[in-house]
Amino acid sequence: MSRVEIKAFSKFVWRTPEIEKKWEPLRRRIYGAVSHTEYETVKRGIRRCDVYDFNPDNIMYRLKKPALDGLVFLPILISEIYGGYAHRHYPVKKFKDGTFIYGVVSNNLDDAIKFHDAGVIDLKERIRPWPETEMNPNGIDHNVTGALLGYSACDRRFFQNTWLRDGCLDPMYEMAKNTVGAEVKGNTVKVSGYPHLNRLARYWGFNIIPHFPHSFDCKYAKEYADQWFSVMREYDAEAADACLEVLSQPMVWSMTNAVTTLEHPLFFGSANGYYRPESVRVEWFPK
Amino acid sequence: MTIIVVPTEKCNLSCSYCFEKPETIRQQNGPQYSYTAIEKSLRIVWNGPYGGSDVTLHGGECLLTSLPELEKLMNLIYNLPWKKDGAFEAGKVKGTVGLVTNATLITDRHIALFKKYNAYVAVSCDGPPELNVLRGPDPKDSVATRKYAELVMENIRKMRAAGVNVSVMCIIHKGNADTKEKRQKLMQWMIDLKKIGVTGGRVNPASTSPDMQLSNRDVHQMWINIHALNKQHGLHWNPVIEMERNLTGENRHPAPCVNDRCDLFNTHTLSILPDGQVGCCDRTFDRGLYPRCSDGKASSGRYEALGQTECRGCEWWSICGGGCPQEGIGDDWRRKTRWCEAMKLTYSYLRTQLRNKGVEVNAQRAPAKEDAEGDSPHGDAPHGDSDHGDSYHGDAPHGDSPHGDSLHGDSPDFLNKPTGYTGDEE
Repeated sequence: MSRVEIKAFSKFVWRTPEIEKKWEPLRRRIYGAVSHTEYETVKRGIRRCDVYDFNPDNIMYRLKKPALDGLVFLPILISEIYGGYAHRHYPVKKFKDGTFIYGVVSNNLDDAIKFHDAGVIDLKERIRPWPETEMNPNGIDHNVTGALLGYSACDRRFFQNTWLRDGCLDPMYEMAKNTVGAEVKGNTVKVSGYPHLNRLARYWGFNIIPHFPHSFDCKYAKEYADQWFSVMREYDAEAADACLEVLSQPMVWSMTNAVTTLEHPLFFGSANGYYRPESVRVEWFPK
Repeated sequence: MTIIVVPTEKCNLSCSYCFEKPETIRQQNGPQYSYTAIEKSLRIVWNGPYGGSDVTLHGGECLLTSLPELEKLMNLIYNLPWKKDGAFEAGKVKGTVGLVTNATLITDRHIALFKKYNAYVAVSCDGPPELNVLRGPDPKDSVATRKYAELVMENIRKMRAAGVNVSVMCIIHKGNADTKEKRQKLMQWMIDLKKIGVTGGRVNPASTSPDMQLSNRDVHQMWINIHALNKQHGLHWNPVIEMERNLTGENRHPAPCVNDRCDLFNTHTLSILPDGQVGCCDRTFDRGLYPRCSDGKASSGRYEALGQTECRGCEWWSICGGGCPQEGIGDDWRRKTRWCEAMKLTYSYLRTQLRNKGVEVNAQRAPAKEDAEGDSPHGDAPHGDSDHGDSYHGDAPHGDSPHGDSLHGDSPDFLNKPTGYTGDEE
């Protein structure tokens, strides 16, 4: 597909000040619960690795934490900071304002090294299964990293086919079409699914599962999401339930001219997507 | 940039194509009016990047506000420091108050207020009563609609007789501009308005009622009619004057606001709602977008994307910007305006007219960057729509346009007629 380059962004407004007053503090807590869960799932052995990135200003705390938790941290690259939903890293050689450290935490050194080697960008001499291409500019071996991050084989295959091969950088439409019972009319899919797998509102912090399942009812992803949700609830039950409430409501996601929009009863948001000649639309209904 | 102050979201009419739908919860149970909250917000935005902007009372119907409260609001706006160089304080510059109204509730006491506060009153009216058929308390009731339309005209005359500055916000649609006959009636009405001192306003196409929406051809035809009318009768109807200025580079920003890369989440026009909440342009209310995005500086991606997709290579891109997001094709804010074709045709036509006069045209100039001191004009602002005095009677706009520039046969519905007109080739 043609590339239309627009700067990564995300914009978001609550529908009313009353909604904002109630939900903005919850959104912050949800964000905190999701971040906690990403790390905690590695610590508990639910998965083998987690992407771990941080601002150099926090280096002491962020390096101490995995060490004290008995985890291994391996840095992979220094990247420029981007806003919104970026599809790639922008590696730089040295620290400067607006850069962050990207790496991996794992509960064992072998897995950390595997993740590092699959995702490291500056080892040009290495032969890679996924060379640097237009759709994979950082040349990451997503099959290896996906497995280490705990994603099922069907979801990794989906990612490779839609994201890497077909260039669908934001595959909501494809996920919806793959869901059992989805109604497809023209470029619109009406779909119900498991709210824990709803990724439509992730740009603004509302998500439970961390990756793109191949459908909104993938049974392996459901099991995985349930584990995540339990960890989230242990950390902050109110925030986890609020997140699920947001993801359970009817909403419409669409993408036109490389810009996505989410119309949700509580908010209206937009973020960069990717270009495809036709507009696509996903109408989500709770089960 | 324009600030609109919305003392109420309620309206006494139910115009067919209004973007503030009467049935919405906001209209029925909208926020409570608070002068204190409005004043506080107005002072905050005025002391920020919106300092020096036009301030216009808007609605709903702003005259539903009680007279004492209306006077307080007018007094507040009138006494804002209009010029930063001290001219206002020195008494050299008069304050003004912009006001948009359907003109059905105007009394002598309102007129006295308008005079007292140097108001510029923009009346929403779509032509003489026989054409003003989609507005009113119930556009399906022809008797009530006629009565409403006559009342509006009567109140315009009253205001003018009292010396109030009046302009007209005219929406064009199938009810008033889809045939040559209707367009000619509409133009005759504009000529008649001049006789009572109403010399201009704005002609915008209806975009919210698909059934009544004009074709691009009809919109273009109306705009070039207005261009000719302005020239022949010394009138000041927009958007064609602004479009001409976009071509000559006289506008610092492309005008009207719809051509200045307006961000749906942080529109150029800022509204202050009845409870003091600061919101976006009232056009976005239709989408339920009342608040502004807290991250005002981030791009919304629309213009980056349009420049690489639907508008790529368009010669008018830098002075059009894809048009208003609320008028996107298929009601999709990310797409270019549904009036793209009308704008292209009109720009081509205007360019030919300017070149024939020996005026340099440069549509490729880079759009002005948004900045804190920006003065992007708002399409609905009643201020400053006049003062364009270069009419040239008898300068026929047809017959000498080079082929391939504008479409052949493009001409106004009437030509070279110093007064009203009864029929001509189209």
